[in-house]
Amino acid sequence: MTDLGTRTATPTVRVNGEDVTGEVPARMLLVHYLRENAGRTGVHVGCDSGNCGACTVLLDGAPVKSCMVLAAQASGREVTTVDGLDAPCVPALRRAFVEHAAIQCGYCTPGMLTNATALLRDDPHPDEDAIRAALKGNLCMCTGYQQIVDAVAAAAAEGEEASR
Amino acid sequence: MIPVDFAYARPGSLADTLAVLDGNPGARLLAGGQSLLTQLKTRTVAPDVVVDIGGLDELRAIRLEDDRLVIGAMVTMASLTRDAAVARAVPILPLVLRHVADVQVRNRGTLGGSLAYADPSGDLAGAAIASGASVRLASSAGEREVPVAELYTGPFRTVLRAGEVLTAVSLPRRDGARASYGAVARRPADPTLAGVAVVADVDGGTVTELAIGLVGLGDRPLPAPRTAAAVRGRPLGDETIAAARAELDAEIAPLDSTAGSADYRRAVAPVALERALREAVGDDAGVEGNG
Repeated sequence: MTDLGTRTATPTVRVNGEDVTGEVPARMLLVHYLRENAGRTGVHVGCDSGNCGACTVLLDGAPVKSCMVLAAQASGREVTTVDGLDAPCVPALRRAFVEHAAIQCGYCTPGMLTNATALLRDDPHPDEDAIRAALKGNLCMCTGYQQIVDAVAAAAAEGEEASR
Repeated sequence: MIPVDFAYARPGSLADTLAVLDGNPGARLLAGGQSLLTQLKTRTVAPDVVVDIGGLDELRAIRLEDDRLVIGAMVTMASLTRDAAVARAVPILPLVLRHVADVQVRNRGTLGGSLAYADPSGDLAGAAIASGASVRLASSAGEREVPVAELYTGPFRTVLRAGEVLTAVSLPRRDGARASYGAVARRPADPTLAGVAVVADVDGGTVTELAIGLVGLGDRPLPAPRTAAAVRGRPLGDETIAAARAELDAEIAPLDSTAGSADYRRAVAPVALERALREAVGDDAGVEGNG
């Protein structure tokens, strides 16, 4: 008998190291699952249409927009939200965001930090072009971006210093 | 936005997928979801059943078959960007991928999903056409192969029949070919208004072989055979460029959209073409392929 589909799904998603499971509507987006079922409200709902990047999380380590993934699609996979980021570059990134005024209203910040963490993990010494290319999918309506680019560059430089 | 209500199926094999599709003619396939989820949210489509093919590992392989590179439909754009064999065999792909959306979308979006979406502004379709690619379509009745240049019938419309799944993209190997992509958009993350993908062989400043794929310049991604013929076999001087620009103008039929008017697209199309051709040929035949 072929499975012709169900209106509910029961995903088990590993969120910041803990399994979160429960029956949800099949159409539930991962971003809502993370906020409502996993209690991870650090993940922001911004445009809800795949443009702004405020809902960026790591799915098996890769940055994705969690409003563009169904909770059911994430079943059996690992999600890291902004409050679960534990890469070595994270303390430096957090400090640099504060020091460079890369935060104003803070709405985009979880997405920016999450995506920047993936960038520095894969490319510890990005130049400005690489930083801007990596953050292309994260919109900020406050800063004009330069402060954010500066903060990521400063965190990268700090990492360079530390590895010497 | 909450997507429209649907029943969700996640088959574990292609055979099971085809069986689900046969039982649900109105079903939609969910690949990476970077276009379908938007359509489900805006109610542009409202299928009874969404069939998630994310569990089909058999559609994630990249392999060489004689003189062709065969890329599984579920290979993500991000994996394509990182794959050295892809860059070597189909040099236009990594160049065009830089223009597609952003890191997060490329981590989810798939080659098969992008081609099947049939966006007239789809950069990857332009690259596929310039590469002479074809797609493999499977159904319970068997398999067929369709050139990407013949895949589209209009905006967001393809020749795919109910019950068919795009399983793989087959591309002729073009190791050592020159490739470039001239693309005009309002901002880097915005849809391409005029894109010209070029795959060429160059010998001593003369373009000996050339194929062109056009993006945003018609009701579907288009080949440009007459424009290519105006360049092939000639040194790429101002005269050849002028002839190519004139042929291009006759081959395109851009549409108005909120992203850009037909007039604007027509005005910038030859600029994109000239940039692509000059970049592909480079300073002279001695320089190595760009990208």
